[in-house]
Order: sequence, then structure tokens, then C-alpha cells
Amino acid sequence: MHVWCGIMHISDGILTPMWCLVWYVISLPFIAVGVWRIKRRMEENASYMPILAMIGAVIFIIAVWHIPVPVTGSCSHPIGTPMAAIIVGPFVTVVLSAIALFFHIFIGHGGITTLGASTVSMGIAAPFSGYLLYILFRKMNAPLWLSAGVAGFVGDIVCYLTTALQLALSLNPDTVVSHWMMYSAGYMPTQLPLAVAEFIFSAGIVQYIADRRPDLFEVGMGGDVPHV
Amino acid sequence: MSDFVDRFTMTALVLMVGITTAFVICAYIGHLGEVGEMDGTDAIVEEMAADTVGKETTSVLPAFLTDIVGEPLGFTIAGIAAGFIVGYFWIDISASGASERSERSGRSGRNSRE
Repeated sequence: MHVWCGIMHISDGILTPMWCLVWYVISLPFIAVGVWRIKRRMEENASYMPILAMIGAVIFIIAVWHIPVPVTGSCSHPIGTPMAAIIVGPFVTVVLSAIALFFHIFIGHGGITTLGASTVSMGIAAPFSGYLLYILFRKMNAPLWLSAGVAGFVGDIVCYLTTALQLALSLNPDTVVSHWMMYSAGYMPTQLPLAVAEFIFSAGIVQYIADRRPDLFEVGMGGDVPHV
Repeated sequence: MSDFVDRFTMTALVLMVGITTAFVICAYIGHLGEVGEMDGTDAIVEEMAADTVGKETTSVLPAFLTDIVGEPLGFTIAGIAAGFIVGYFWIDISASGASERSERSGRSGRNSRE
């Protein structure tokens, strides 16, 4: 029987048990560092928890939102984690992503065996790549909105390139590169327009917060906001 | 405006409603158009990948919310629950942020006068 329980994220039964375990093992250290940072920040600032809850809710909603792309006749979702990484930091974003992805399982998106893989693609690869580019662009004196937008765009694409790699590594170990290309090509027609949307809302939201409520950055990043 | 609904909060809420409306309208147009039911790209690529080795997707944990009440109602219930949680914390965020800002501006005002 063909059960399409997960129309977003990787479903159970797709990855081999070994690769499910590998992705869990890779994600655990990042989650541990993230939890440690959250605990430390909560002791320092009582306003931290509400910000964290808000960002977690944003990731949960954005990453499960079916946005139709009529040109391709399919739908997909942005991820929101690069923007979250700019506001609360990349390690904390890993924890929020893992929690959001866990709850996605109960509304039919993703699977428990593939939670580690989804955390690596959406919670680690995307926010870290986006955040690094954000820092790089800010160091080159690029405007805040542009840096945040590029982080969102690249993070979105990297997320799906990582997912394609996860599928190729697990299912086609002898022809990883060619199948990685093939799966990436399958994602891109729908994901590219959504990456543009991710650019726009990441740029807009980060710039808006910086203009109106820069204190949220201070709370989120522990007062260390040289790049805002 | 009160401290709870400052300009930031009001603009954020208006933007949120606007973006949500745009997504809902686009989704409705896409659904009514000739494309009809749209599959998720993740599922399409997964199916392509699974076909290369003859695998099938399964479900270890049940999607109890959407399986029992259906996706639209499931998301509505989840949205209501999340709304209560976010709403509870929203007061903390906006009120503490507003009071901190007013304290800070009051302090800087005093400093400049001194």
C-alpha cells in the first residue's frame, strides 16, 4: 500500500535504518549546544522565553505551510530557519527546528525515523549556511535587509540540496552524485520561487525588527549584536 | 494607543493578516485552477527516489490530528492552540519591550538634561 502520510519533509520508510541513525547522531551535538545556550540565556534574561516561543511558532507554521506554485503544479514550503538564526542564533534554531519538526509528524508531515535527517537539512544546514552568509555580507557592509534576504534565499536552497543528498546517500549509494543532481532538479522548479519568497520575508522581517524593536535582537542573541 | 498595541504590534498584526490573506487567496486560486489538487514537492521527489529502489513510505507515528479531524480542521485547532500560547506570551513581549523602551528613553532624556 502506498501511504503518503508525509507530503512535506522526508517520510518514514524512505531512508535506510543506518542513515536514519547517522542523521540523528549528527544532529544531537548541535541540539545539545543549543539546549545549553537556551538554558544560559534563560538564566540571564526573563524575556528570552517568550521570544523563543514566538520564533518556534514561526518556524512551525512557515515550515508546514503548503504554498502552491501554479507554474509547476505542485506546492512546497519555505523554512524560516535562516531568519530564526539571525534573530536567536543558529544553535538555538536547531533546537527550535527539532521541536517544530517533531510536532509536524502529528499533522502528517515527516516521520519519527527521519526526524534526525529533517533536523540536519532544515535545522542545521539551512540556518548555518544562511547565518554564515549573513555575517559575511554584513562584514562587507551590505545592507541589513540584503544580508538577511540572501541568508533566507541560500538557506532555503541549501535545505533542499541537503535533503536531495540525504535521499541519494541512502537510496543510491553507488550513484550518489548523479542521483543527488536528479533529486535536486526535482525540487528546484517549485523551491526556487519559494526561495525568492523566503528572501523577501526574511529581508522584510529582519529589517523591520531592526528598525522598530532592535531590543528583540539583544534578547535573542544575548546582547551580542555587532552585526545589526 | 495603549502599551499593548503599540505601532510595532499593530503593523505586525496587519502584515500577518495581509500575508495570510494573500496565501489563502493564492492557494484557493491554485486549487480552483486547472491544476486542481497539488501534490507536495517533497512527496513527488520522495516518490521518484523510492521508485529507484522499489521502496514505499510508511508512517511510524500516526498523524492523529489531521487523520481524525481532517487537515483544515486540524490546522485550525493547532492554530487556535498556538494562538492562545503566542497571545499569552505576546503581552510579555510587547509590554516588557514597551516599558523597557520607555524606561530607556526616560533615562537617556534625564542624562541629556543632566
